[in-house]
Amino acid sequence: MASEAEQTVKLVSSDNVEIVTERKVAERSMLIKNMIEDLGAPGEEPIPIMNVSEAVLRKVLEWCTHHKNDPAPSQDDDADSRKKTTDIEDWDQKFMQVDQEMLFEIILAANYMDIKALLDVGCKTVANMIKGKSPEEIRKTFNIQNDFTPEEEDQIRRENEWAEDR
Amino acid sequence: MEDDTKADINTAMDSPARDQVFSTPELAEMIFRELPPRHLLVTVQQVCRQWQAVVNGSTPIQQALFFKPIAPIYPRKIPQTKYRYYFEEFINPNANITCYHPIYIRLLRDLVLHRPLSPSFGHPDASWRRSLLSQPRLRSCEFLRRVADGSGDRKSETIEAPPGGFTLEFAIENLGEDFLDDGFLPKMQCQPASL
Repeated sequence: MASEAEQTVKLVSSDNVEIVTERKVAERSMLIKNMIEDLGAPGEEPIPIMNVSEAVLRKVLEWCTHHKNDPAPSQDDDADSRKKTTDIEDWDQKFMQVDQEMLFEIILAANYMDIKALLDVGCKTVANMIKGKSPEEIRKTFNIQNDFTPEEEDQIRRENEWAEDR
Repeated sequence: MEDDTKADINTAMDSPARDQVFSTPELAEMIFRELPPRHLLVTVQQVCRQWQAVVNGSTPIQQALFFKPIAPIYPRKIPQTKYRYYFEEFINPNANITCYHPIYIRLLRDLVLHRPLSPSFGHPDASWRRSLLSQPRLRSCEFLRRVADGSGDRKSETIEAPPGGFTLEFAIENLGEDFLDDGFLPKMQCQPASL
């Protein structure tokens, strides 16, 4: 029998493509890890990843492969050791240089597959796209409609103007 | 190729995944919590109703903006007289420090120097007015007031927090002239305020 490190698992994407990957890589996803533990016999039964398409799943597994040896995050240190937004390691930053649809697909997949570290990187990447921009620039970046009336917009601005005055 | 993908990130195109992320309050909150709280006041909530609803509906964000109290954990250090950052970071609710509202010291300084509030601060609807004076809330404030007999003596006066805690506006309004003339900070008693 293969040792745990060499074991592989079969994942099936939402568009029905089978992807074989190292168990250790796949287990960066808590969803998969729990499923493997429930199934008991890894490698034999394909694991359906219902909400994630092949292209996104491959991208997510690329991240998991790079990070397969990262220490497991401890449950309660996230409040204390929250890194600053700009602290995204170089490899991750490069990894996230994709079009918006893929970036947000990765966030949705990381959320669904329960990969906290990847979800963090995704959120930080989007936060960096928001940072330093005016509301109008943000709308342009994300193709968002301004649905406030001019009066409402004025009111919000008046209420919070003080926070711009340093 | 690389440059092309880089350019894409700032190009607004239709993106169902993006719409799904921003319309999922938990995910939008996660993104917004990576921003300095100040951005949430001055930009994020002005983008659209959906984003405004996320900012208003998120307890951690409302706590970071001093609109909702954080649960106190004791023992706590006495209030910091200098707030290290101006809404640049989220407060760690597990740290045993008490923080004044980021603009408290600035407001005090202006009052001590008898400077008029700048128009952006003076607006009657300004949201700092309903902000809490500190996180976590204080149960009472102790002021040193000059005794009115001309002797120059001071006696301390304790003001119990109104229901809901001291707001920044309450604190500013209750700082008497004699206190301000001396330029002292009021001595705040950090007492557990039950939530």
